[in-house]
Order: sequence, then C-alpha cells, then structure tokens
Amino acid sequence: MRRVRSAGDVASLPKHAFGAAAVTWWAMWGLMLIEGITMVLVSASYIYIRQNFHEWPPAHTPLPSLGWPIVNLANMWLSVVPAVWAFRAARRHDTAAIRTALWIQSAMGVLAMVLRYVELQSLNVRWDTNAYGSVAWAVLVTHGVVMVTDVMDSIGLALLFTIEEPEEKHFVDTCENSQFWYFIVASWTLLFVLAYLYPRWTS
Amino acid sequence: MSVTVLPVPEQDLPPAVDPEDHRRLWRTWEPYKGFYGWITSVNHKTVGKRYIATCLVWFLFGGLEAGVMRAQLARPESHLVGPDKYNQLFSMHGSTMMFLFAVPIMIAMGLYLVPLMVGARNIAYPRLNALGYWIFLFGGSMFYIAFLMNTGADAGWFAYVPLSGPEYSAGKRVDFWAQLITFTEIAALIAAVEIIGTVLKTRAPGMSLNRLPLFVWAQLVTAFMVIFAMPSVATGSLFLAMDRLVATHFYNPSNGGDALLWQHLFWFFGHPEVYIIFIPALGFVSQIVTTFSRRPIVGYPVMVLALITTGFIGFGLWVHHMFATTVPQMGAGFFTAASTFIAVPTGVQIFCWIATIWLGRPVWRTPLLFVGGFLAVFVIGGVTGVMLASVPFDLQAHDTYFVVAHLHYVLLGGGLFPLFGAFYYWFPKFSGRLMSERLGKWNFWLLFIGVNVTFFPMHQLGLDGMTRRVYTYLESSGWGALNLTASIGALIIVISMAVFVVNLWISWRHGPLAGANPWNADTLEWLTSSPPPPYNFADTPVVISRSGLWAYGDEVPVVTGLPTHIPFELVTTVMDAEPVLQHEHPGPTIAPFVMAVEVSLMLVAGVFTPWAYPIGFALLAIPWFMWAWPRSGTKEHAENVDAEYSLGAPA
Repeated sequence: MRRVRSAGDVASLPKHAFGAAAVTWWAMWGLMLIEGITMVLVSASYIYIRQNFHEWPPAHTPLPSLGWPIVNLANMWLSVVPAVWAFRAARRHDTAAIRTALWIQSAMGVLAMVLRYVELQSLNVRWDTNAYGSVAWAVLVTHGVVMVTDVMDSIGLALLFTIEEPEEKHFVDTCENSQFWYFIVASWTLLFVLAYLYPRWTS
Repeated sequence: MSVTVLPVPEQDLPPAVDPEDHRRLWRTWEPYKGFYGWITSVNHKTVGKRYIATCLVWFLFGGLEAGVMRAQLARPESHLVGPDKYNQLFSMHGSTMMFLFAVPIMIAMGLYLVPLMVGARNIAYPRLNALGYWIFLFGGSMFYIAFLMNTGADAGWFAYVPLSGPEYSAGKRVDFWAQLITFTEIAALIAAVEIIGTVLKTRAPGMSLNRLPLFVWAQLVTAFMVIFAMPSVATGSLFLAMDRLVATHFYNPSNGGDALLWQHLFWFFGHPEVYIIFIPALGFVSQIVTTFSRRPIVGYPVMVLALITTGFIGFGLWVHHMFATTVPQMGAGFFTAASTFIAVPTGVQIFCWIATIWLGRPVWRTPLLFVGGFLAVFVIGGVTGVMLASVPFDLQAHDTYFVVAHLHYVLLGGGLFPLFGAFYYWFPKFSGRLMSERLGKWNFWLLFIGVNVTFFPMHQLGLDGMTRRVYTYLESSGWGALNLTASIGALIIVISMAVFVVNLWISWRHGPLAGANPWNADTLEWLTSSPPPPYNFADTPVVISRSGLWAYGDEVPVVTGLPTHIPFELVTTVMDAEPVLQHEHPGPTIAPFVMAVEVSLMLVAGVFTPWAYPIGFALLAIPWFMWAWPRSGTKEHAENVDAEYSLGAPA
C-alpha cells in the first residue's frame, strides 16, 4: 500500500454555506426538477386530452369559476413576502425575524391548502365526470401534494426556531425552504393559467 | 486520562497521515450494533450491498419465471401451466427484470461505487439513500406477496390500456402492478438525486469534471435520465390507478380519455429506461477495458460526449415502440431517423474500446471476457434494433418473437454481460477476496452459449409468425424444434447462473485475499482497503491526473484537517473540485425505515381505497419530524470521543 503525505489542510474551511456551495441546495434543486417535470407531464396530458374534444370544457360542462382561485393566487403571491423576509433574515442570522416570518409563511401556506380544496370545487366538474374533469383535478392535486410538503417543512422550521436553539444549518434550511416556496408559487401561477384561464380562451 | 483502544477489525486499512485517525474515524462512522444497527444504517456501502443482494433475489425469481415459461414452450400443446398463470408469469418476469432487477441493480452498483470512486466518505444524502432502499424492498415484497396470492400482474410489463383498464382487468392484479411502479420510481428518483449530489459536490480535490472516471460519468448521465424519465411512468401509472380506483377517465375513450396517452407516458419513460440500464453498463465496460488493457482509455473526451449524446437522443426514440399505432408519417420518419442515429455514439464507444484493447496489453481475466461477450451479443441486438427502427419492417415484426429476441440481445448483451464483468471486477472491493477465475470462465462461456442458443432461434420464430405472449402453439405450426432449442439454451443459462452462485459462495468464504488493488487499477476505490472501512478514506486523496492512481508514484497527496469526532466530509466545487466546505453528515437513524414503512402502508392501502392517500400524507408528518428534528446524540458522541482521546472540543 502506498504512503500518504499531506498536501493541504482543510480545517479552516467553513462548516456551513448558503446557496450552491451547500450539498442540500442540490437536493432541493433535484426535487424541484422532479416535481417540475411531473407538472409539465400532467400539463402535457391536459393538452393531449384537449385534442379529443371539440369544445373545452366539453359540452354540458360549465367553465371553472374564478373567484376563489383568484383569491388563492393573490394569497400565494403575497406569501412570497414572508418567504423573502425569512430568507433575508436567515442570511443575517436574525432568529426573531425568522421565527415571525416562518409562522406567517406557514399560516399563509395552510390557508393556501384550504383554498386549494375550495379551488377543486371551483372547477365545477367532478374527477369522474369526463376526461376533462379527470385531468383538471390532476393538475390541481399534483401541485397540491408538492405544496403540502413545503408547508410541512415551513411549520417544522417555525416550530424549531420557536422551541429549540437553532443550529447553523437551520439558517441554511430556512433559505432553501424559501426558495422552494418561490418554486411552488411560480409553478402554480403557470398551472392557474392552464386550469382556469385556458378553458376560457378555447371554449 | 488513559486512551481506550477501540475495536478496529483486523484488516488492512487505507493509508493515513496520522494512523491514530483510524480509531477515531471507525468509532465515529461505524453503525450501531445488532438488529437496531441493521435497520438504522445509512452507510452507502451497507445500503449498496443490500440493494445489490435484493436485486439478485428478484433476478432469481424473474429467472425462475422465465424457466417455467421455457419449459411450457419446449413442446407444442403443453399443459404445464394454463393461460391465466402464463399471463402472470410473463408479466411478472418482465416487470421483475425491468423494475426490480435491471434498473435498480445498475443504480445500486453506483450507490456503492460512486462515493468510493470520487474519494468521498459517504453518499451525499445518506438517510435518503436508506429510505430509497427500504421502499424498494417493501415494493418488491408487496409485488411478490400479491403474486403468491394469485394476484400477480397479468397485463404484460407495459400494461397497455384498455387491457389493463377497469373494464378488461377486474380484480386487483393491475393495481398491485401500478403500485409497484410507484414504489420503484420513488426509489430510483431518490437514488438519482443522491448520485448527482455526490458527483457534483463531494469529489476529491483535483478531480475536475474532465478527470472523472467514465463509470462516474455514466452514472451522472443516468441519474439525469432517471430524473427526466421516471416522472413520466409515475404519472402514467397513477392515472391508471385512478382510472381503476376512483373512475377517472384518463384512458377511457368513451369519456374523452385516450389509450395512446398511456403509451406516450409509458414509452417516454420506457425507452430511456433501456439507456438507464445500458449507460451504467458502458461505464463498467470502460473501467474494465482500461484496467485490463493496462493503458488509459482511447478518446476520453469522445467517450464522455458519446455518453451525454446517448442520454439526449435516448429521449427522442419513444415513438418507435408505437409504430403500429396511428402515428403520423412525418413523426414516424423522425423517430426512425433518431432510432438509427443513436447507433452512432454507441459505435464510437465500441471503436474506442477496441482501440484501447488493441493499443494496450490486454490481460484476459474473467471481467474482460464478459466485455468480449458484451461486444458480440450487444452488436447483434443493435443490428436488429436498426432493422426494427424501419417502420415497414417493424410493422411486420411487431409483437412477434423477433422483438423478444432483439430486446433480450440488447438487454442481456448490453446489461447483463457488463454487469457480470463488473461483479467479477469489483467483488474484491466488496468482499476483500478474489473470485475463482476457473469458475468465472465456466460462468462466462455457459452464459455466452446459453444466451445465443436461447435467443437466436427466436429471430426465426418471429419471422415465422410466432407472436409473443402465447402460452402454447399447435404442432402443425412447425415451431416445435426452434422452441425446444431455445428451451435447451435456457437450461444452459440456468447452469451458468448456478456456477456463478457457487463461485460467489465459495469465494466470499474462501477466496484468496485481494488486497487493496488486486488488478492494479487506476480509480480511487482501489486506493482504500478491500473491503473499505466505514469512512472509506482516512484522508481525502488529491487527484493529480485523469489516470488516477497510475499517476501517483509511491506517495499519495491527501488533504487533512477534517474533523474525526463527528462524521464530516469535504465539499468541493462543481467544475474544478476545489475544496470549499466541511459538511457534517447525518448519522444513523431509524427515521428512514419508519418513513418507508409508513409510505408502504399508504401505497398498499391505496390499492383498495383512495382515503389511504390523505390519511397517509397526514401521518407522514411523524417520520418527517423524527427525521428532521435536531438530536443531541451527535454532539454527545463527539464529546465522548473527545474525552476519550483528550483532544479538546472540535472547532
């Protein structure tokens, strides 16, 4: 077996980093990629099934209502504010600000989940009525499942910053949680157009 | 304070600047003892070996199913099994070989080898790694328990609708199949993220991307392919499950659904899947050819570009599985061109390997023999693939034994032969012992003969009109002799596999000790001991050349200074692998196991009721918090080790 010699010492390197230097940041992007591709595929299925109908929504199926979905869209856009606040506070290690921002972000996330249930009703079609209903529900549920995971993460972090003394890595986690939320809001904005506005343009 | 001598097993250890580090590192990285240790381990080598062993068990089951089918088809009008059982046998065989053996074992080899080959102490996300394995194990077990209860999949491995839909497949057979897809896709996606994180962020200093071993490149390309391909089949199978469970209409044409949507979603995954199996195998071949030709690979940049190109083109072929549907002519033309074009990067690699062997000093040990077998068998499969890429020929041969012959030549030639070469090549690293060369050669030649005797006659059977998936045939068809030949070939394959198992058993217990680098290979896994200690490397090696160990001479440069009291590893930059960070590793925990049990219960219950999903998701919060909530154990452990060694608190 060969001998070894020290060619450098890494003891002085930092033990935590924000952004692309962190290993967890890459996992977050991996998850966003997987979930983003899934949303693209569900959207492609929506467009594919659209080809089977002369009208969209199909005959005798009402258009989706816009009221509550717009309310939720506004809620999700506004929820970016506490997410950005938490992100910036985490960067400067401001525990009190993080705690407040995360609780607000969690509350708005829970509200978004409740409103997602209302949005499903606003489609004005059941999943088993026809293929349009099935795929429209699929769009909302697919995004909803991803949203639930991040809301759970936000609540977990909010609890952690409230109960425990946070470790350095939890500040990094907070930033990544915010970035994931941006993805949730951005992807929903596109899916909102598909599920609620597109039928209006093509009907 | 006296220094306690910690139990370090009697084995060779990798070189270290401070040999005392071995004691500290062993204590820090070793798993818990006993059953609890068994279910809480997050070490990539433990998980990787389990993954490989589990895949081999499923491979055995899939092989037994094939054996029964060949026994049934050995003579005309046989009644060994009836049509219903035969439907289950070919569906279980195909699903097992694709979802429970070929794809996962290629990934599992990466989970074991990639961290070692890039000089890391563990995989990037070790708890996720454990979660992926448990989900894979539980999913496969569910599938086979269902089979034993006469609820085995029976609509083929690609489960075309409307056959697999609620109207034509009553009962729960297809539902268990669809759920198997969910299990295995979760596991594969998890593994892909781990491989990407490990390769891009935890490489040894100096291992810039243009010094990455070709097997690691292959695993990286495969991981990206998994991320782009697997969501497609997961989406498709979820739609299928919902059509069956809650009466959605994704695939129901009478309510606006579309049966071809299933084929698109399935084959957008299904064709890249072939490359997900094949590209890691190309990586095996490159490593074996380099080592046994005793020279660096010819055309490294071209080889890397060929891997990446194959990954891209692999996504442009899926419609060639659908030529018998109503694909527009222009579309069919495009997919014919793409299907032909993909032979180019593969051809480039084959020429590079041949040139490497030609210019080197080849040593024909068993791994290289399997590479030779790969070249011969795979090229035949490739040639029939180019034939099938042509629409007029495909329409004639569609759903016949010609396709069965083609796909087995491609998958056995392109997957199984390199995999067996890889087993013989890396077995010393897994076990510390060499496998028997004599039995290895028997293993190889029996497999080579068996594969050709089994599958070559199937080309003719297909051209004679024998369609796939028929459970028997009339004597007057004239297919008896060729079928009997194929069945004799299958028996030879069985004997070959028995030789492999005997070799494995004997070598694991009594094989000659291998030492760190029995083949004088150039990649980093051969720098550490065989088998490696739980922490892989005491000090992270510095890579100074693409030729890895061959460039070192007598001394290996390493970086020191990583904490030894708590599990830490070095994080480097994506392109040039410059050290930027010390990353603390999560320790062993039962959370991944608990989460896998919870997810599995949710998915199995989801076969019967849709309520399983909202309830299951809500309950997921429990293992989620077990996983993520900070524990004081790691710090206490570090303090204990500090006290033992009087080293003071870590920085």
